[in-house]
Amino acid sequence: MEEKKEERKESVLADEKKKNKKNKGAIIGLAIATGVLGLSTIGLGVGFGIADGKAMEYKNELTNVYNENFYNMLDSVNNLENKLSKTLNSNGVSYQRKTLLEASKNASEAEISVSQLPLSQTDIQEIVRFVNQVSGYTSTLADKMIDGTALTKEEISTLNDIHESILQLKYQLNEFERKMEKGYSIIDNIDIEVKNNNFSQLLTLSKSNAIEYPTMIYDGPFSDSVTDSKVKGLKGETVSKGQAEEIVKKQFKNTAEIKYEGETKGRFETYNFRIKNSDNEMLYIQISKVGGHILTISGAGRDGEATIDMDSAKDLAVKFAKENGVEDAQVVWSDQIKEDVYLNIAPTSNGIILYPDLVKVKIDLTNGMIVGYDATTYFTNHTSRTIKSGILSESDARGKVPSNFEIVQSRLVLSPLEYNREVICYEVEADYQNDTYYFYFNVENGELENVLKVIKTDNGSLLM
Amino acid sequence: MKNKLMMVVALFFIFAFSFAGFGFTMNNNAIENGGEIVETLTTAENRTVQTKLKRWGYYKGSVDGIYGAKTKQAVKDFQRKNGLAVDGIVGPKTAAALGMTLSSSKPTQSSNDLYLLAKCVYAESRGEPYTGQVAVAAVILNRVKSPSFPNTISGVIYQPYAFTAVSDGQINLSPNSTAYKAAQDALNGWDPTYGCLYYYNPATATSSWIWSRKTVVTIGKHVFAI
Repeated sequence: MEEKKEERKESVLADEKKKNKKNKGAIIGLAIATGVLGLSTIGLGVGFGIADGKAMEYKNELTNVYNENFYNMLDSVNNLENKLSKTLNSNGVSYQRKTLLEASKNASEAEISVSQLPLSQTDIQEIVRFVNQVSGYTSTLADKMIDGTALTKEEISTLNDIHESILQLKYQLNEFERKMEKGYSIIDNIDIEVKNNNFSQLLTLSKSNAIEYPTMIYDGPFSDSVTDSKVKGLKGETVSKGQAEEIVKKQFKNTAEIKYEGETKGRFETYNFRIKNSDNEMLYIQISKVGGHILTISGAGRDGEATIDMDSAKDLAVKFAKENGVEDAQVVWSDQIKEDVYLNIAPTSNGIILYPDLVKVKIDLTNGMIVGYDATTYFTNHTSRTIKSGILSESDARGKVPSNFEIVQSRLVLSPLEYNREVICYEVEADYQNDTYYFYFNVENGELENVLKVIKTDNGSLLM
Repeated sequence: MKNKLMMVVALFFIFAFSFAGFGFTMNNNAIENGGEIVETLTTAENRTVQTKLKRWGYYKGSVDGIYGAKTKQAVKDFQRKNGLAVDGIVGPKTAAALGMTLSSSKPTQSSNDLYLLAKCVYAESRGEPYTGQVAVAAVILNRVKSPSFPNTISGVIYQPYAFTAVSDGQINLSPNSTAYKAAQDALNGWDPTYGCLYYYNPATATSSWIWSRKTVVTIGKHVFAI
């Protein structure tokens, strides 16, 4: 019994010790918790402070970017106005040409700056179009003046109209700059959420104080004639949706699935279908309403091992183009990106390669399937042409290539030049220091019209 | 004296590594071949290979500068005869045996346009059917050509407020291979929209202005307009 008492005593003592320990633990725990809480509170505060500081830094950076772009634009427009007034108030073709070239550069700089301001696209489209076209128009005029040709009355009158619009633009921008001097901040007046912001309203580039922009008629960069090219090659009866579907079925005989996807009502009018080819790949096909031609096919192709080689792909592509009305065609350019092969095919006429009538085919090397086809260029340009013979012989053309080049081959081609111009040229392919170049010499006058260089990139080759 | 020697050794290593790094970035036209990095040849170089192999009777095809199956076989035969590793690839050793130098020291161009385009396509339309992705890439390229928009791919993509997926940062996601393929198709001239400059999702579009544009085609969830 005594022993037990002793034990109990001990155990009570032990309990008390434990209790004490527990209390101590609790106190320490509480202290630690308080400490942690306190520290984290301080930490959070500091953290937020830093974050706030960072946000301020970012805001300052962005403010500087916007201000820089605004002042660049202001400078460009002021300079543009100055150069144009010099052109208009001077005579002397070479001086006018110099000021026009400078004006062109200023206009293009204005475009770059205004496009980087936080303005909604719809608000600045008109002004971007205007400065782009001013840049194109002035450089086209300068090009024409190379041989001393003076500006015509019409051209001077157009330049006057342009100058008038630029004066208005200049006035508005300078008004705005005075607001900036009084402390107006672009960044404080933009609302990221609502894109139609205060800033764009202040800078009334369109809408209310609308500036009237003149029409510029010319063949050059950014001219309307370049963007509005007419479809020349599409002929034949108009087909129905049902007939179009039959055309698809005829081309893709083993299609497991064909689904109508609606119409296209643009420069080309088409019926669109989605099918699965015999290898179960999705393809999207557009059939022209006029003539019932396959205009485009697009599909991703699959990843995997190539089962056919480039030569077989070329044969397949030429055969496919022939089935779709592109006769006497040959592969004029090929490029392989992983297992996809892109082939450009051009028809020939009396042995002359017709580059403007290009058809593009994409073949999947893993299964030899046509997964892409584009005949829009062909149907835009294909027409019967009278081909003029010239004074330049093939050996003349080869002789015009710099002597340090190694000539690979030469041939007669119809070459599409900028602004819807087509000329017969000798194309001379030549190598120099492991690079390949293509020279184009005009058959009629022997002039060098174009040089293309093959540029190798990480993804296939480019012709530039 | 010893310190100086150490310095020289250290400097040597620093230079050696910096050049190794330099070499690596310069040779970005290399392709992976079973773990080994090899150079791809230019068309002109392929032609040199074909000409030489033809002259020596290894190659029977035409000298077209295209590294096809026939050229590869001829290279393999040449390598076998000359005691080289038989892989059908013209690396530095095979090139030396052929008596030609490779242009691999030349910097090549990255595919920056393709990369930017693929990023924007992925950010804007990754859930769309393939042709819908090609169409988005085509709209970007149509804008580059249009006078009403900036004149470079980067200018069009990064124009403020032009694309919601650029504004909200989705542009910084890594594009998948489908987006790359779609961008490549558009760069090669495919345009299922025939020159459209706008697209919108009618279920989510908030701008009233966009509805006033002429609709050309609907692909997937996107309406393409001019």
